[in-house]
Amino acid sequence: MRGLWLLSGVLLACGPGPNPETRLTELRVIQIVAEPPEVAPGELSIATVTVVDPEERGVEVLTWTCTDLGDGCLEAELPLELWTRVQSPVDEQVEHIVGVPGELAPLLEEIPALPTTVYALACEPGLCPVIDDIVRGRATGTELADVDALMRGLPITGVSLASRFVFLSSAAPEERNANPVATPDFLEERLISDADSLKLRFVVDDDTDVVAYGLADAGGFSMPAEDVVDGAVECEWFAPKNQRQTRLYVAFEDGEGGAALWRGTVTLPE
Amino acid sequence: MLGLLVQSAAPVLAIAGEPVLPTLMSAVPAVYPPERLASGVEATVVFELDIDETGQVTRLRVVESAGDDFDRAAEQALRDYRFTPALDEGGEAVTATIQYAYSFEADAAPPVSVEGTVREAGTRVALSAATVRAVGPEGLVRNVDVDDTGTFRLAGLALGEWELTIEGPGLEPEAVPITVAEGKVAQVTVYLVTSKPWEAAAYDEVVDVVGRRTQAEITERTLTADEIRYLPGTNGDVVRVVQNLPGVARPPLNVGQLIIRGVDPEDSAYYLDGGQIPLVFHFGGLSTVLASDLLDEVAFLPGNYGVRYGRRIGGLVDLRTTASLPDRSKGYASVDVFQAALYHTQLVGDRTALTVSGRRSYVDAILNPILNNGNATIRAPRYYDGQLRLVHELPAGTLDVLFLLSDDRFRVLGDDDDEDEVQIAFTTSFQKLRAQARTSLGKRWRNESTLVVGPEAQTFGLAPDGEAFEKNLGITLREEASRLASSSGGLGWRFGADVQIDRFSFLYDVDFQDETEEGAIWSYRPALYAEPTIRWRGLQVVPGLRGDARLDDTGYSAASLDPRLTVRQELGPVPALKIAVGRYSQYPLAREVQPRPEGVGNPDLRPEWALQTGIGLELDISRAWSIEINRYYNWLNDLIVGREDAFRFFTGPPPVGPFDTRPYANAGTGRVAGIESLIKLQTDRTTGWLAATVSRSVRQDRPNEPEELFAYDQPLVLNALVSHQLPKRWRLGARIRYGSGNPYTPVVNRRYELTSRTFIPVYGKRSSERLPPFFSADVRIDKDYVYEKWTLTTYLDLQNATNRQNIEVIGWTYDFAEEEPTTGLPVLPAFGFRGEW
Repeated sequence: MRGLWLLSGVLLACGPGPNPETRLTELRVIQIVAEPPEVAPGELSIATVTVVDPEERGVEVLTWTCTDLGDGCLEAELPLELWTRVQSPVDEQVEHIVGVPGELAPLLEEIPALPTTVYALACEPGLCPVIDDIVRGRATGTELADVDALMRGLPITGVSLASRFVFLSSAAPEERNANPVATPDFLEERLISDADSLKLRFVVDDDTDVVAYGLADAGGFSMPAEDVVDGAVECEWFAPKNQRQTRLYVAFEDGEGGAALWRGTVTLPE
Repeated sequence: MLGLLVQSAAPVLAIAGEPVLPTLMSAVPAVYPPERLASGVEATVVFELDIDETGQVTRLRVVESAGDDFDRAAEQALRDYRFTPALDEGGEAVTATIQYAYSFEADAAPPVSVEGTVREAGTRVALSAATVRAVGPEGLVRNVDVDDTGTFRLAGLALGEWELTIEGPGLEPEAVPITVAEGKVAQVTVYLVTSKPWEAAAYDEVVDVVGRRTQAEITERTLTADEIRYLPGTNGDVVRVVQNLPGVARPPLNVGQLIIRGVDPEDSAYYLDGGQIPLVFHFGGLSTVLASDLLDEVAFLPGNYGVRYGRRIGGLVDLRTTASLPDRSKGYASVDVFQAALYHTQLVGDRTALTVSGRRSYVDAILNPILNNGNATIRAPRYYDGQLRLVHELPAGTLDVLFLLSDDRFRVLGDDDDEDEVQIAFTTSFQKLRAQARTSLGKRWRNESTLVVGPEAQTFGLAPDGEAFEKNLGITLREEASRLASSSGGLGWRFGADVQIDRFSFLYDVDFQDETEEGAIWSYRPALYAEPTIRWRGLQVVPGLRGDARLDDTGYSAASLDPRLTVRQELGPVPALKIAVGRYSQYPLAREVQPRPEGVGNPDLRPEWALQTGIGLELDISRAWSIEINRYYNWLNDLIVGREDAFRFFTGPPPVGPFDTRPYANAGTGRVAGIESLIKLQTDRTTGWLAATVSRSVRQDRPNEPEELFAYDQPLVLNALVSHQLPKRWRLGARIRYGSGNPYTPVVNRRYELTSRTFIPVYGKRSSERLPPFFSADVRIDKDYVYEKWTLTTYLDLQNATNRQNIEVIGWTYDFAEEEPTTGLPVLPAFGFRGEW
């Protein structure tokens, strides 16, 4: 039996009503969508990072890429400004350009799907010295290779680090993985709820198994994850008792690096 | 056949003047021994009688014997003789000593009036320490003792109504009316209740419930007595008492594993009569996998054991079944909140006994409402076991065949779409046939041949398609010859060979494993051992040598040679000093050496080994109190480290990280040091002990890495138990447990991996935090209701009486923002019934 008590506790954390895991109560990087999610050496991918700051204390976002073959980030040999960026989000988002050196092409003969990792570190002002070091040119880049060591030196609240794999591939463009396309099957401009719950249905275009993850800054979705079945998924959101306007997010993941994000706002009637 | 008064040739009493000798007033006939009467044998027994001032016989002494049966029969009758008292020259009554001859004449033998049997109520065991007082018409009184077979006879009683009163020490007296009629023998069977067992003659020995041996082991604690099943917190299970002995740390969630002297549970072993079995406790540690009544003793050897045992660097528990036939057919049926059990052993003829036993839990029905939440349903541990045993006495030994099976199952069912969908399934089962022949070879030599054969399996399923199993078809053969050294001095020997043949198969295909692994191997593990015992005066020296080898069909091979030495010196009649040192080897698991492509193992691994040292002192303070102190220091070498952490779901409490995912290597070392003390109280009414263990266990996974605490390092463990017998067959017991919390590695931050949408913990310094101490107080009360042929025992075992919320395992919220520990069970009133016949 051993650890099964614990494991069963995790499985049992669902039930009718809003699931607390779906409620955004603190600063969090909720999504990184790389377009395209699979690239060839010498190509670029644009990573769009979405950061939710429920308490609106302001936030700085450090983004960087790391291709680690066991000896740290290959990018560390390059000037920092080529593979790191510090930005303030605009409409909750920042972008990072993922450049893949053409020199990696020979490696793909040995490792067909070589991942590079896109990191996004969001911090409330003053909490992350590494951001200040990069802005002031004091960083060397080696401190970004071991993210566990980096996070050990940072506070657990007011800081959020997220990562996504972008796969380097030598496959033909039409054979590479693409991001899923999730189309709302409802009128977004009429997202005004007058009921206790709201059902959001999406039509998803993708040839892989996509899972939808609902998040909200108030209330909550019934399930942290919903499988897309027959090209569609429905997520049920439960309204809060005392907040009129709520931001809703539904992230889509195909499990192979492909991702999408839908954002919307619900205004409850007086 | 009347008694003949004989004047003493030399009266002890000197009577001055005109003394008057005693004269017989009333005599009662003795019961003629039936066998003697049938064969017409006659006899005369001459006694010397002391007669007091009232004319009563106060002392008898046989002067001329006619054989035990005649002597006893005459003595019984003479006790009821009445004399006129002897008078001195002043006419005052005085004591006198005379000689008296009692003659048995077959033709004049009085008819037997009453034949009776006296048995203990409940057990039906013949009681010999009882007397019968018969009061008849016109105040006639007869007394007779019950003989060794629990029977009594009265002969020549006057016709009419009589009342028999049967009594004895610790027994509730019983009065039985009878009618003595012409030409009839009144038959009586009386069942006496032992209201104060500690006063009854049948219980005149104080049984040491936690015994110790003076053989090869420096520390061998044997659990033997039935008293143990009354101890609180054990649910009547003898083996569970091991969990309260020195050297044993408490596992998280009380899962039933034994953490002995600071090593992992899988580094210790369980044996049944010397043959290994995969587990000893059912899920949750609620019960042993076989009926306690099958066991003669439970031997707990925390370390420095002899060469008979091997292949482990930790301690062991050896369940030893009763070697001899039971004294009677007997059994029990029990029902409590966790399980129901049935046990019966039947004597078949004089040389054979057949035993059937089994149990089935229904703890799921009790715990499910507590554990269940939301849409899923926990099928809490369900287990059953069964045993079938045949014991046959040979002309010079015993043949013993035991079949046992055990099956445990745990499941979590249901998700949003399908309430019957299995989310988690865990099973563990085994079926074993154990055959053993013990024969005497003469001149203190004996031979023991043991075969243990049968499959065992553990399976694990995790939705949607995760699967893992470990299966083994094991065959263990042991052949051992031993000669006990005389207690007064001399040389003893133990020679043995054991072979373990395993067909081991495994599959690990679950999401949290890096790679799928599977394999099936045959493994041959022969061993030879020899151990002389040298005794000279108070000194006992036991050197031993054990050689182990292993050969797998994958080509893996390894060998080890383990020398061991134990010295014991009696320091006078009471204390004893013990010193031991030894090497202990443990071979890698199949998956650890399974080479690619099937496995991810390292075929170059060597056996792990431990150097165990110990010194101990035994001291009996008084008849009731004793102390035992052991100091041990163990070095662990060539420990296999690497990706083993992730497999703990089969072998121990849940791993919570961080995990070592590097390849397997013999790179680890460890040190374990501790002091164990056991203070025992053992009287005829009270059993109890205080077990204290102070220890420290550390590991260094690789030479250049920092030393860290062992995952279950518990610097202080205290267990105090007491059980006291009260009159009217009440018993009251209490247990208090305290244990340091286990160390754990804190989560200091987290990161969010978006492809899997999971938070990944960032751990701080390894084993730098410790859970709060564990504390629990248990209370137990028992009451026996004794009926003529069976006994009903009811009990209430209040576990965690203070309802303390003990943190068992650390955990975190889904995003690792906060600690979310798992606590143990709340106050749990366990009650049950046991009917014993």
